[in-house]
Amino acid sequence: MLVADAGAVVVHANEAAGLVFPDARPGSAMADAVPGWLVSAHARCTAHLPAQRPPAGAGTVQGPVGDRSYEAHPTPRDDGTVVWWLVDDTDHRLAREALWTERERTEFLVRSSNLLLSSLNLDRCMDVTAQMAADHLADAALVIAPAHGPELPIVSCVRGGSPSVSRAVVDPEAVPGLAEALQGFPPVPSRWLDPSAAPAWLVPDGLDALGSIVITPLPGHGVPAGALVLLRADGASAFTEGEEVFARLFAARAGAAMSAARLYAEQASITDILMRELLPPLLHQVSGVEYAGGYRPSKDHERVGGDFYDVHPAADEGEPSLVVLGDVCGKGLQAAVMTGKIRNTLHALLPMADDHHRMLSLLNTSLLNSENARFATMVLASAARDGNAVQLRLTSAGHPAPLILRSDGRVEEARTKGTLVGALPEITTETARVTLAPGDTCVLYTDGISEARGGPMGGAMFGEERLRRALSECAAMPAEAVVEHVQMLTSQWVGTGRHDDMAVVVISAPRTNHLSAVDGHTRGRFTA
Amino acid sequence: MAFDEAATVGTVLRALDDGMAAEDLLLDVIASVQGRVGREWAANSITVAQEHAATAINDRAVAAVALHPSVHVAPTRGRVTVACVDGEWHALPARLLAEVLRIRGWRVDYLGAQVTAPHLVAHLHRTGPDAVALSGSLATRLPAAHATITACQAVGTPVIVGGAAFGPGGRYARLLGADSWAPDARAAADELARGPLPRPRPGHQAIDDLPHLNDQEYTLVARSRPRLVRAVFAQLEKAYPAMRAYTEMQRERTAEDLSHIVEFLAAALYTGDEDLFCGFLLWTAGVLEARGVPAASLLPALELLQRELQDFPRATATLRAGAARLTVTPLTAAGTAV
Amino acid sequence: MTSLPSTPLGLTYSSSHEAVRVELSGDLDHRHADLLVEAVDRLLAEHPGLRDLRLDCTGLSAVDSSGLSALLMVRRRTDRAGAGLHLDGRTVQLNRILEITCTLEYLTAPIAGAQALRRTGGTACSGRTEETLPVAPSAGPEPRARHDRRDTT
Repeated sequence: MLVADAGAVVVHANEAAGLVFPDARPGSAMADAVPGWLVSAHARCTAHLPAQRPPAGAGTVQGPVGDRSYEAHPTPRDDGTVVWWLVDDTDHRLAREALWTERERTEFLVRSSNLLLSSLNLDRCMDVTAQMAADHLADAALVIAPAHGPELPIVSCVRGGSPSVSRAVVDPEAVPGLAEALQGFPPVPSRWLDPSAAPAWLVPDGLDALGSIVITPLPGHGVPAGALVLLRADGASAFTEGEEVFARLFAARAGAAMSAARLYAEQASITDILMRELLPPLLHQVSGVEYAGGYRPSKDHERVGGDFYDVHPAADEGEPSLVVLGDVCGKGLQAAVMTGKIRNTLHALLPMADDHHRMLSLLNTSLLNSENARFATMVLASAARDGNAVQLRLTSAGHPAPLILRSDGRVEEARTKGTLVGALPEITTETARVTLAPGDTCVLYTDGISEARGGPMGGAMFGEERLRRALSECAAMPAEAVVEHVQMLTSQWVGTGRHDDMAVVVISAPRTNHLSAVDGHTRGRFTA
Repeated sequence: MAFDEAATVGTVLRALDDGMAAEDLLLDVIASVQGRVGREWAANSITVAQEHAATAINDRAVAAVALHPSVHVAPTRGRVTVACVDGEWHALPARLLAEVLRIRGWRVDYLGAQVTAPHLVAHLHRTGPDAVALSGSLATRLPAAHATITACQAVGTPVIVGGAAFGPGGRYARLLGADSWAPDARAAADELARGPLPRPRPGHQAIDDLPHLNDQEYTLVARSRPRLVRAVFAQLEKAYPAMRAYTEMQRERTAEDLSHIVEFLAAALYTGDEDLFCGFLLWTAGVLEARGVPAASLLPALELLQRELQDFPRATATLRAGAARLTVTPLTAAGTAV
Repeated sequence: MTSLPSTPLGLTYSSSHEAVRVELSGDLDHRHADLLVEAVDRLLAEHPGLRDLRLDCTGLSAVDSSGLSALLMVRRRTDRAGAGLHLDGRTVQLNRILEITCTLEYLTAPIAGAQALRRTGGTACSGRTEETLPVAPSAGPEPRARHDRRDTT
């Protein structure tokens, strides 16, 4: 407690005040004994006009004394003196400052996590990491991913700028700590680097004089995700220990996101490669016959399922091409794997494609097993151009018979019938011969189409009748248009409801003699 | 309308050989033909199947342009994913945009029609494009469009949208929180060329765009669509004995019309915009008149729907507004609203 | 074979002298098909020497390919156990799928025939020697010409 009069002369200082302000003795001028901030606060409290004084209860001031910090609460007395109560608030202040920093850092970490977690794309994660680090932790930052062949993928960013991507053929061994950080072994802490020893590629454009550099590993999920390089310009304060610890916290999050993205990319590319084998092919014109196909798997987030189709062009011009459309029992990926097996087997059996029964019998035998009765149904169609017409041989193996759409809109069912394959020891088949005149179309479909449930009133089956009606409107249309029309109608029919795999393949005899040369696959103009 | 594929493709290839710019050919010739196809369909002068045939031929024309040697461009810009809203069948506008962007030097992933949000998001994770261009023509697919826009933004990819679905001046684009909107392919390409769209901030919640969805009216109406159609159909039959003599085809047409009414009602509830519903009703009235069915026949259906949905204030208000608009808008002899 | 919000498969058992009857109800589809095979396995184990297994299909609402696969498995099991299989009260949809897939005859053939066929490795409507037989009884409204593999070459 310290009392001073209106003339800013100390009247009294108790023992505690004496310890803080050793020069504060009765009679000494405040200006000689206490810090300036308290002198000016005293002056305000003792101003001539009462209106200029702080109101009662207010006027608390705060300021440093040596390396500590004090709050001073004034109590004016009637005799014109002011009693100053001094309270040491150093710890309180430090705590508040620390809290503030913590809050900022937490907010930053949350924001980085949100940004990093939103993407499973490695490039994007690297961009975000570099940018966040440059804007909040340093003057510039580099994110270096483990080598991709001989090159290191690098994303660099200068504070306030946008990240730039590069690949550099450099030796990570040349930078102390970098090789270990990229290998994830042995475990290394953040490492200080002498700026003068930094190779030029480590310093992004836009950062002239280098002050300090820290390399921090980006730890991943069991695998290293890369390294984070933080750079500060010359003149900026160097990294404190606290900042370094914090950078590691950030690096842990960034590393986790980057390695999740890397794992995802690896998985996705494996899935992609496997899936490519199972996806239905793009169909086009072959040897003067038009083909188009469309497929929609039952689960909309999957791209494959239990329906399949293929067109195998004949080895020799003039020979028939073989079209297969089928449906294996079951759903999803498991069913898709079985379609792969069937498609491969049929491919191997192509030399006997002139004998559908033999082909199907051999396939039947190869699929038979005692554990289950997982079967497939399918239609084989051999199609060959014959003048302007197309000659078809159609064989159903337990599958809905193909529909023939004539160019005048009539729809007929091909007379073919046979046993499903893969469940019974022997099969029977009946092959139909059909001639497609120019503009005629043959439609192969799976029961996902004909048995699609839905409709405006819900619960109704799309049915073969409706399919025939829809087809009769498609007379003489290009093959793709027929496929698209059927797909659109059935998709609208099922709406958002669940449905089975749906596949449709259309074989058409072109209406005109001109063949489009636009698909890049046509062997040349066909003149009949 | 004649569907001569060979002639169309031949014309297109000749134009390119004669030095016409591919972008102009795509947008000023093919797109305008497609626009006419759309108008003919809207005016009910061609069938849906014919529309598909015309579109398939236009699609081949686009393919012919894309494969022409004069059109090969090495990518010099960033990467863009072009897709249609899930449930959208009109893929040609998206295809045209994809080709235009390719010509302008973008690396384009064209995903086509019927792209589900999960499939699109997986693609975005894999490829990390600078933007997604989303095309939609059917207003009834706006809820799906919203889901897709939000999903793309959630993985940090900005979305530019376009197509008739997004309403005059792109009003639904803003409503659904799209990062940008373009009236046509050229404008979309220009917009993307101006500079990268800003990355969307994470943590955006779809419901923030449309707080009115809190009343659940959209969900309940959309979910009970088949039930509503059945109920209204049955009561219409009771009130109009003539309907009992309808052929199976006529009955199905009627049920389809009712189903569309409910779909557009749901879309209007989703967007909170009565005009969306009224616009559809006027168009339907025009088509019905062209089919020789008086537009007034829509009124009893609206009345019955109102009764079915009496607990839903927004739905009934929308239905009332639609009925009012039908009764005050005279239709021309051709069946188009004036 | 559409996946609908389906009704689960219901199985109700009753047995008389030498015969077990199972009433099927609901959907025999990919979600429930295994239930049927498991139930038949259990029944055959519980009733050694069973002469007839009757599956009453009247209450079946939908049968998909997995359901048909289950029926084919059931037939293999009853054949092995020497029991006759009877598919009673077949619905229109079930008959249709059995006809399209040409499995009706196999599934409903009497046990002795089936055993004989098993020995020779054929079914009633197959094999080269059977070529003149009609392929599928009740195949359709109009008689179908048989084009066998020999006709196609």
